[in-house]
Amino acid sequence: MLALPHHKHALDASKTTIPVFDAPYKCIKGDMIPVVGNEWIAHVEPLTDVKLESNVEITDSFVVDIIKNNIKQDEDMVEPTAQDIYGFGKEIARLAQLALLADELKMGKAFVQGIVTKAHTYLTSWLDGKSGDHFVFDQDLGGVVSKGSLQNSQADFGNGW
Amino acid sequence: MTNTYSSPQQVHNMFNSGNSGNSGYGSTTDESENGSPLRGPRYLPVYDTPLLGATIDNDDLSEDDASDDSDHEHSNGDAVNNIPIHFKAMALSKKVAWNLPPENMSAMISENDALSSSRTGKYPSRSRRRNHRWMSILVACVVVVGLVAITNLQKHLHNLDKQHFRPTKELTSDLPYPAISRDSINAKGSPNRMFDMDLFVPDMKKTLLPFPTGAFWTNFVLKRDPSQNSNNNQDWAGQLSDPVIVYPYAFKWNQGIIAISYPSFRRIVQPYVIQDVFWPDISFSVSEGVVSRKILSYDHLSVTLRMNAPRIATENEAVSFFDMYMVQGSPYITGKFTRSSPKLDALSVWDKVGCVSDYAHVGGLCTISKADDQNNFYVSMTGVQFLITQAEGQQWILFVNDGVPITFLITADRHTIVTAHPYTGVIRLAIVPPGADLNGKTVNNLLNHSSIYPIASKVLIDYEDVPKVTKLIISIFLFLCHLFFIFFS
Repeated sequence: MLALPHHKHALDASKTTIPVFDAPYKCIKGDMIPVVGNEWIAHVEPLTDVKLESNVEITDSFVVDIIKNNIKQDEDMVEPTAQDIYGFGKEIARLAQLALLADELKMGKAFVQGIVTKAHTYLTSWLDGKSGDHFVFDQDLGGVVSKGSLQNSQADFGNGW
Repeated sequence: MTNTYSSPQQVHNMFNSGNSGNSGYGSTTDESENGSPLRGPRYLPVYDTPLLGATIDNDDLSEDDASDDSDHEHSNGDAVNNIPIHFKAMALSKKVAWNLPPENMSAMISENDALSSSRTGKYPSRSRRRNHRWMSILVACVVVVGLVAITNLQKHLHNLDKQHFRPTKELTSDLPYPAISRDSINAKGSPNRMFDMDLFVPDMKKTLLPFPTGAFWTNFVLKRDPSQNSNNNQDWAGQLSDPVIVYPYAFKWNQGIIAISYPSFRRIVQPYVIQDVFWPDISFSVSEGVVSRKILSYDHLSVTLRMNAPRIATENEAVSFFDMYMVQGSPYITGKFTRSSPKLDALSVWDKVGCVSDYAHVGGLCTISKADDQNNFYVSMTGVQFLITQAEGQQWILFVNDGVPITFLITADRHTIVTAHPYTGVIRLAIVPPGADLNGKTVNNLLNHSSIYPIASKVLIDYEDVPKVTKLIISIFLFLCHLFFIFFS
């Protein structure tokens, strides 16, 4: 059988027989790798650990003050009220990020909780299925989609159907 | 005629929202109901549900063999009971010594030892003779049990062949959102409107939930937009499906043929673009004609097509068809024929037919008949391995897999190679990659490995917890090779 070029690095060399070909089979992804056997074992390295917290602490108090100020301003600037899930998703993500930043910069439990509560309220209205272009369960393909996107392929910025 | 590889991707994008929804489909609850407890918070998407149980039990393969058999006895093909079968088959393909449960194997070996010692001429004592009698009865029993096990196994694997897609299950949700069927709101993206559902075998339709909108073979069932055909200068080409890429080959099909291409043969390299082009180099069909076609089964790495020929009136209305196993990464194109006459139409003409053994060190039985030696007017070829060359320059090796020589006729217009009689067995076709020496390692490997053909695949994902490092091991159990062959070879 033939593996794709990028499989070669993942295939377990001790358990894989790779014969030498004088001329390779080709595909659009490159020269294919011949492999003998009916079982391939591939090892995939885990992704790097990603945390919500920052790895580096900001030490410059001047910078910290500017960021804190901006968080306070931004928090009230745009309410997550978009009637489509695409726009709302971006808005709510921004709000959540502000909460995270505020928490990271130790702006006080009450302040952080205030943002979280707001995010919670707005999210709930979507999860309850009461917002504008609300969610439906797609019986044909499975999964939750917005109602408008079922009928219009251009809905949700072209993510419909 | 320049079809790039964008098509499958387009299909995928078209259903992007549907696909991303799939991963949310409640697979956790299903798992616990099926009795396959999940280890830790990680779990597979629902596509892999039948495989998961197998992965977890992987360490206990040998102990579970016997108990599995009894489980199979009362499985009636419903989804939950099918799970052990998957697991069983994988165990078998892995262990190779699959035909008898391990304890019976050891029993047989010891019994045989006993028998051979009795044949050495030493006259055994009376009690030992009695022992031998009992032992031979035991051996007979073991053999019978073994044979029954093998028969059952083949039956199960035969079922597996048909049922290895996914569990039959209605799509439901615990989430508080109204369930909507796409047909009920007349959505254009409804599977029934997008796809030709008649191209699936009836049993399979039930298992198409959720519909595999992003499968590599989805182009086979995507309905053609009639308005596109008018833009196409070649009417016949308009009837073929969009290409399905099964590396390194590509396929299209229509009501009568499966068109085969080795797209990199016509690679166009420009400074910023590399393009492989599909041309129907060979059209695979049967001379009886195709009356209906179906998708028989599929999995992550394979799809099997069936082309039905008319039933044979002179043979008690026996069925006549051929199956094409399209497995990703196979250098061979494999067709299994049942009472039908394989027919290979060249894009233009077959330039030359010959024997592999004329060029390579090895090569199967083959004789070529010419009407006239000077004009190279080929009439027929008989054997099991042939080298056939197209006018465009592609060289193919044609394999007859069952070891019994068959006769192909070459039509006078050199367009068609067709068997003289209906054939039951496997025929394989592999392109000789441009630049390969017929005495070289590529062709040598092709000849050495042509006898075993893949018909399906399994993908298992295993997570191995090492302190601080989580290692993801994907074992790809590829190619449940044809068991009949493994057993008798």
